[in-house]
Amino acid sequence: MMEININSKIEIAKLVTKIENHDDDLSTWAIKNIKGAQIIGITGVFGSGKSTLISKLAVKFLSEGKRVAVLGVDPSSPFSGGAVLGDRIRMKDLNRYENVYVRSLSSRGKVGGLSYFTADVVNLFDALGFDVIIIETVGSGQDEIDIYNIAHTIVVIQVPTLGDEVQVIKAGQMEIGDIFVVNKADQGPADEKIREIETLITPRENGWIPKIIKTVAVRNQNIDELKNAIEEHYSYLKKNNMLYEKLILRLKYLLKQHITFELDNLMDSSISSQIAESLLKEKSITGSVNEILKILGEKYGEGRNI
Amino acid sequence: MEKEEIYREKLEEWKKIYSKSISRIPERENTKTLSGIDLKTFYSPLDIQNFDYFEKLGYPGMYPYTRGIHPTMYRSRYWTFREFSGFGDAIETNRRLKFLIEHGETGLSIAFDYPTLLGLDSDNPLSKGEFGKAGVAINTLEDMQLMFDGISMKDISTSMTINGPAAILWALYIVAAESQGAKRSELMGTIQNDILKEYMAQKSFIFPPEQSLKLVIDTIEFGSREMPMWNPISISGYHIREAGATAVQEAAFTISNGLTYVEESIKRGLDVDDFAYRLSFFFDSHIDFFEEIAKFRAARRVWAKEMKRRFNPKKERSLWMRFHTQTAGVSLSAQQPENNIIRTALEALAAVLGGTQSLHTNSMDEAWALPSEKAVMIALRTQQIIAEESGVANVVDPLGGSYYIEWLTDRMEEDIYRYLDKIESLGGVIAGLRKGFFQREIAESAYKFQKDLEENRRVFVGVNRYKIDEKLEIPILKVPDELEERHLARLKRFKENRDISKMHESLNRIKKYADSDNLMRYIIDAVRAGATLGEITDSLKEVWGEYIEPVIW
Amino acid sequence: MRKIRILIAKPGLDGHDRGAKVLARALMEEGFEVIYTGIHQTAEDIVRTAIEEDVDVIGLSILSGAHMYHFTRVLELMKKNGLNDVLLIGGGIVPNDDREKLRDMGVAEIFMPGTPINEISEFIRKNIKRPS
Repeated sequence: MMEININSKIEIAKLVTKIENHDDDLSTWAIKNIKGAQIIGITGVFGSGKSTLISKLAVKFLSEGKRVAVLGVDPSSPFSGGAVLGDRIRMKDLNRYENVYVRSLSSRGKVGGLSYFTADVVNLFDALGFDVIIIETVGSGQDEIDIYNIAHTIVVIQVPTLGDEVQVIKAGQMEIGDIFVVNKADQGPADEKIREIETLITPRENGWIPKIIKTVAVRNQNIDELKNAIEEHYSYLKKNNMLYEKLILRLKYLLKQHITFELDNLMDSSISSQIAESLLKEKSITGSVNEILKILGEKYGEGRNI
Repeated sequence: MEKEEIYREKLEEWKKIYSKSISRIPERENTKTLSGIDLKTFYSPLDIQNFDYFEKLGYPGMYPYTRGIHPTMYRSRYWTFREFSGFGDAIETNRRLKFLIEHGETGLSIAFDYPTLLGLDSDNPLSKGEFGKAGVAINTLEDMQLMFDGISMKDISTSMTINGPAAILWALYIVAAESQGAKRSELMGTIQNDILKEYMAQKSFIFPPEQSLKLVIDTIEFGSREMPMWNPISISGYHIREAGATAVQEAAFTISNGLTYVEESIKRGLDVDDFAYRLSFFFDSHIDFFEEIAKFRAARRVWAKEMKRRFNPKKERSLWMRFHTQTAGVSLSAQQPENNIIRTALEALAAVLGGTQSLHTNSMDEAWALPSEKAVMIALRTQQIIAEESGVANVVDPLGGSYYIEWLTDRMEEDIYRYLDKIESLGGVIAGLRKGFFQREIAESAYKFQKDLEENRRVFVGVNRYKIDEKLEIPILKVPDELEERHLARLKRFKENRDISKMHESLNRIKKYADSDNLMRYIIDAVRAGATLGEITDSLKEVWGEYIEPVIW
Repeated sequence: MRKIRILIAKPGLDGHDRGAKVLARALMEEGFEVIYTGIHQTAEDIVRTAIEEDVDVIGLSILSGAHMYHFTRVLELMKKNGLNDVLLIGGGIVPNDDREKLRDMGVAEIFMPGTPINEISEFIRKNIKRPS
């Protein structure tokens, strides 16, 4: 396990696959080897230019000699469990760099939000020696909460409004954003959008006052400003000793995801149908829930790492 | 309607016969059009109530031109028979062009290879493996001159299927023709030059949409001033359709693209009557016979109505939708390829009954290869049989007045308008593109179509029904290596024999005026100074950047 | 539990992505995880993506006639990077003798236009080189 060649993308890729397929040992190893990578969550709707922005931002970190991992998370089809992961296309520029690894994860049938094992993959990247980990999400409610639990800094991307479609800034995004980016600032009334955001933001719980930055990612405009803001936020966390807190939050979230995974699987099985059926007869809710939890407890740890 | 009660009464009678009939032999399940429009058993005067002849049809050559843009249509002159050519290098293509002229083709149509379509010279590393495959490689003025060697450019009309770098290929054509002694004002032809549909469907774009659109308007402006016989744009639904759109989407997206070009040209300061009459269109003719005819008629009517309503031109001709048609490449099958001759004949007939101005009939092997000479000949003969044997060209709009055709034409018009409204509410074509609206609509239709095939709701003869055990022989016209070698050697020599500093000066002027002036003049100068297609494109990429499309489902 | 991951890519300069997109979506609906790279990919882009995404299958869609060049390049790079357990398939218009040549070189199958999608997905399930 310790002989992983960080320069081998093939090896890294295979480890990610293992984690995606629920390898507790590997996930545990990753946690023990966390080195403290900087984790950035970037969320924005389709057409906000987030992939382009991520690719430009990654280049900034790469030029400082840092190793960067990018994790794109796409929802999977709730029916087939399959997924089409297509965001890499705008990160093609990154193919020119050796020290960056890009991977797409699907949510694997989990309804809404990130894949169960996103935090595990992030830990793996950290343990493998990546300095910066960027997670891209589409901003669909649940995944905003997920990403809040994983990332140090959250960047929310908005674009100037085009046409007569109203683009509402979602409440959830207002609450989690550490930095707001108005991208594609050359394509519409960007300043209007900035004023709109200004009226809505409030200081975060930890005292940080969110920043707003105007960018044109395709032309590489103001990417330095964005990077500086991210660094500033990260230093703020560091200075106030909040990084450890964030790590514990991430690990708590990781545990919860593992439990949720087991529970979801169990609830999809025929045993839980039988238990549910027994509710119609003699069983109480408390009794049934206890029965499920008992099975969960017995089952856990068995048949792992297949 | 007169005697409406009688029609209704009789209809009740009919319904009784109908139910008796279907209790014995039920109707088939799939009677929708190719685009999914539900059809009734038959159509009658009840389906086209309040049908005002002059509002809906008019006489041929009169507003709203539903029956055709000319008073006599094919009674005076047949549509232009135009077969696509272009293969390998300029010299090889020259040979094919002469072959087609010899066999009665009345207009040339040039296809370019992929590097040329993307503004790349053949010596660019990205061009590797693609030389001369889907068309001819044209990089330099010398190439263009060789392609037309022995063909009098002032006497023939040439259509060039080129979009991203259309302005450059046009400049090459103009300078080549002038070197034959022709005047640019007498040149006839078309450059496709419809960049908006590239972002929607065909994906041969180079620059971002806004800058590309600027370049297109440059060509329209230049054409209106200096080339009155040339169509500076062919607003194309063909590729949108081939990418999977329905007939309605094809017509609606094409019309909204057309209106965008008109608006932008007027913003540039042009008078609508100075250029609108030179706008031409290009449609697909797919396998659903009546739906296609209705599409052509509806598109012509909507275009005339919208041009009139929005821009109120003084010239009648500014209201005309003149169009070229190609039969549907996607309707062809690799299996039992001879069947494609029949498909193409039906589609060609629909285009003629729909009033097309020119027509390309696909060759039976065109779905998977550049067509062989024999196959091209059959395709051309298909048009000649329709025109000169069948008699369908003897009367203008022979299906006009058919209850079904008129109902379907109205229905398509309605559906087209629904899309036009939607596009407007999105903020126009470019905003819609940025939002992925068109791409999503097309992908959705394509997927639905495929599902229908897979689940046997739609029959594709020889593919999902009536299959035979056959060894699929896919003949392919291979591009001999010598052509590429010959071309590359010529390109190298060409680059060595020019005044480099003069050439660079000309490129610098292009960069300098990219955003602020009409570029046609500077591009023509650059061509004269020996700049290649790739060099001119690169100089514009430096200023404008390149476009990468978002992935849209 | 393990999902089969498939890379669908369009090498070269042709932009006809209708087939590639329809296939990607249909494979998704059959439960595969599909990574779609879009148009204008170089062989280097494709193989790098295949490595990073740890895919079981690479599917190339080519309609430009430039299949010999692009398949050869992708195969070379796959060999160079040791992707021996990745299945390479293709779709598009490829004449018979070229198809034979490509099979000999290591392309598992080339599907013609008109091939039913379930035929393709069945082929993938049967022929993937890694245990599923």
